[in-house]
Amino acid sequence: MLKVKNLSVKYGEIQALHDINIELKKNEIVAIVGNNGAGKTSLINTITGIVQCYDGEIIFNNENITNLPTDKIVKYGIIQVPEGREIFSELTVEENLELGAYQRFKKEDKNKIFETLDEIYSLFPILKNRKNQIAGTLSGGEQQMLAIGRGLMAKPKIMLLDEPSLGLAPLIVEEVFNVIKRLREQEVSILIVEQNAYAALKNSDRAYIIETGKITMHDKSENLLNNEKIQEAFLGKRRK
Amino acid sequence: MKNILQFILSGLTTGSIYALIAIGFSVIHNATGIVNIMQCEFITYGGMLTVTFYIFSKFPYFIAIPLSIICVSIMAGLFERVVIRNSKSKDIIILIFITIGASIFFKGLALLIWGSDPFMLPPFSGNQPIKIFNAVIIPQNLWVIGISIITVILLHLFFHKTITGKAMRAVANNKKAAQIVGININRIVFLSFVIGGFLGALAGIIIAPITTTSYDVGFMLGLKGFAAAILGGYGSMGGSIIGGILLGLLENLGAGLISSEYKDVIAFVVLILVIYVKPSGILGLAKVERV
Ligand SMILES: Nc1ncnc2c1ncn2[C@@H]1O[C@H](COP(=O)(O)OP(=O)(O)OP(=O)(O)O)[C@@H](O)[C@H]1O
Ligand SMILES: [Mg+2]
Repeated sequence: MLKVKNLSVKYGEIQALHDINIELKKNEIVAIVGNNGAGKTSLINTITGIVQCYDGEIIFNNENITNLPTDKIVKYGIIQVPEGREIFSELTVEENLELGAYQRFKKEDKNKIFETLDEIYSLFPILKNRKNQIAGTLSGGEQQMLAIGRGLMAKPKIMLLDEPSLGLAPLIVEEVFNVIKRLREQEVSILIVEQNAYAALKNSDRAYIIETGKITMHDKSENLLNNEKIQEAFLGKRRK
Repeated sequence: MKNILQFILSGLTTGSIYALIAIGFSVIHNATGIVNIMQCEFITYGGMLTVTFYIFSKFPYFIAIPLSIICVSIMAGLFERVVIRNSKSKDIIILIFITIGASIFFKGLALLIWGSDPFMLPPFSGNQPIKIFNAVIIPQNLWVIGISIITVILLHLFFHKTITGKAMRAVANNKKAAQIVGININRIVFLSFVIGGFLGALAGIIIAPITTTSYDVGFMLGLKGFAAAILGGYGSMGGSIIGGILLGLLENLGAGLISSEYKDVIAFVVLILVIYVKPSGILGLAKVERV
């Protein structure tokens, strides 16, 4: 469904990504695990056209979507849930959600959008209770829910989640990942980038390990979870 | 002290004009981060095009006025499309300077087209003063205040009830997030200029029957509108309205109670004092919802 081929990204002289190859198939949950500065956000931003790539290709359903502007990428149903939430802090919760469906307003019946809104509210009841609250006053966890909900309002085919667990208590992290797993039922393919290797590997089908801009390993998530090297490098377990 | 009511009525009239201009500045600032000095020319061209269509082409007002507003809105949109968007540098300071250059150019062009003499447009409906207690108000003042109120209500509905209006607020709030949800930022910037042009032209037209209009009328009005925006809290619609009305009242009360020679001075002294005490303006940008 989504293929990233030989992708390189440079910021001036600094090369952030080297020859990245990844694939996301329909209905899959794929994780990309890496430490600070490994290039996870750069990868997601390049797929969604926020950052231009230096070399390589991004293919969605056999169409070349490399370096298209973000609003065109969104039209394809590829939606980013950004790192650090990046919600509209001065707007209400409901306005945030409506804006998630921004492009649908031009071509779809309003009632359909409000149906999606109801679905999001049943997925995250807390957002319904807070719908008229200014989004910036939500707690960190609630803001993360809002960012995910806003992404879902677009009826995405692919959702790219940038560190959804960042700054959340373990219990909330579990809740967020439970929601993410349920998205599979709605035919959404998911790419998650995470530093939280354990949560990411436990909740995904396949995973790539990214280190200083290069993919260094790729396997089924359960295999990686049991891999000694991974346990040592990312899961804080020592070799016997 | 006998004519305080009179000064208040005049203050509300000019205040409404400043408010419209201030909102124009704010809308463009929210989308782009720049101060658009061309706003002054939108005011001038609104009034002067109406002179052309009404006095020279002999169109009735109900054609001449909408036509002028449409022309200025197109001019503002084209200015963004052609000049601002194609600027190699996206540096705010450079972009502001481009708007200053364009403003000087369009002022010169206006001088060539219309000459330096001021024109008087007739009031929208008669000149028969209306007595309110011990003050008189001319009908045009009521037109100015009424049209401004309706415009502000319509703008509020646009920004809060339509998805495009919400998208404009979204861009003002968080550009990156706006991009991520699929908003075409260029389109919003374009729209902000069209709205700025619309508001500038409208202000320039409805005030013309009271103050006359000429090729350089936009400069002082624009400056006052800009001052009003800062006074109220730059970038906010509520702030622009409060700033505009307050500036209008101060000016007219100052002129009436102290001396009309100090009219402009009083307004700017108060402005500077407010900026010293509260740099973010009366409503304070951070706390207040932007347009
Ligand atoms: N706009 C930029 N300009 C220059 N360098 C950048 C820019 N954005 C990222 N980088 C650099 O690219 C590298 C990868 O950054 P990126 O944000 O993709 O990492 P990340 O894996 O998302 O890290 P984190 O886990 O901290 O979010 C870093 O070395 C970073 O300093
Ligand atoms: Mg990151």
